[in-house]
Amino acid sequence: MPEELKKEFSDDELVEAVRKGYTEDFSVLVKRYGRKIFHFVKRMTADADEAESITQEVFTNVFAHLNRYTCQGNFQAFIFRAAKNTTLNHLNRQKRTVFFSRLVKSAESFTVRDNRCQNEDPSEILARKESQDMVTAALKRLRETQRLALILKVYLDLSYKEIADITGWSTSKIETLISRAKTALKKDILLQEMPSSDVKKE
Amino acid sequence: MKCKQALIYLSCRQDGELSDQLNRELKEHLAGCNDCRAAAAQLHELQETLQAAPVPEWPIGLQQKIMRRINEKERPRPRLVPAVAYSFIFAFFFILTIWLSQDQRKEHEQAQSMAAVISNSQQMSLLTVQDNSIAFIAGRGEK
Repeated sequence: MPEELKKEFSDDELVEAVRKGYTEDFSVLVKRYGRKIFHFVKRMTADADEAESITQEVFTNVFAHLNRYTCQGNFQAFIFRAAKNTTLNHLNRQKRTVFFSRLVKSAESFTVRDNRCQNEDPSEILARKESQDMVTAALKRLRETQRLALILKVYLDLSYKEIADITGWSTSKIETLISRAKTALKKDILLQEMPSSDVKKE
Repeated sequence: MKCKQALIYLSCRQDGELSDQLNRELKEHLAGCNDCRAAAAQLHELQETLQAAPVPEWPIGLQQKIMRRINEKERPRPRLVPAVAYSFIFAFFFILTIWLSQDQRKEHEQAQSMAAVISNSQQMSLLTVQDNSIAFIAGRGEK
């Protein structure tokens, strides 16, 4: 069947086809969710290489455990749950083995692929880079649960209900987590932006 | 409404998740609370900063890498090459046969030497063989 036609299939139809042995149909699901998963993982890890390897792991895990999916029109939650678990496992493993060079790598990885830099004032580029690095670092300082909820909301534009489906948390918990994450980020970023004299005055 | 609750509602409103009723209550609170109005402005600023970050680019070739890994997993595991398996079985039986035949040969040699001793002894009239029993001749060769 042509690739164009497959694109119109629902997630559940594609999953059924893959289960029947049409493995190549899984590539449509990879195309459909790959970018979102990669985006999510990269925001969580702040490292492009790690994000790439985790994304591969997520899809291979999903493929291996496809029989666990109940085909109720919620493949997005299924795949994001896998992404969440794989990423958190990875981050926990990393905590145990201290890996200092990551900090340096993360700052590099967020700037290398910013194509908007062309034809722009270098001072603007620098300012934006600094701002992005600051946000990345501030995100990394958040609690994992707060970071997870915030990234799913702000960067993946998921509703609280969708986040609840992925995480298994209640909507009120998600409201609180996101609000606290924003408050913590606000303080963190504002503290860095403010000159030290202003901070002392406060 | 307390400021602590108002901060949560502010965040919900920003995310488009606040009901009309709560939105009205929040507006009333904001009208009389300078701190929360300032917090609302900062939240707006924060949202802009967060969303200014570029969307990470999808790495070239990642789709192919994923599908390659999946196809590798899908491919049935190579079985133990039959020839190797048969060789092991053949070698095992070969060694077993040699070992058993050596054992049999030893037994045969022992039986032959025993038969030679008995026939010599018979010739020297040291013993007699009747049916399946051996009897020593008294007074000769008995220790």
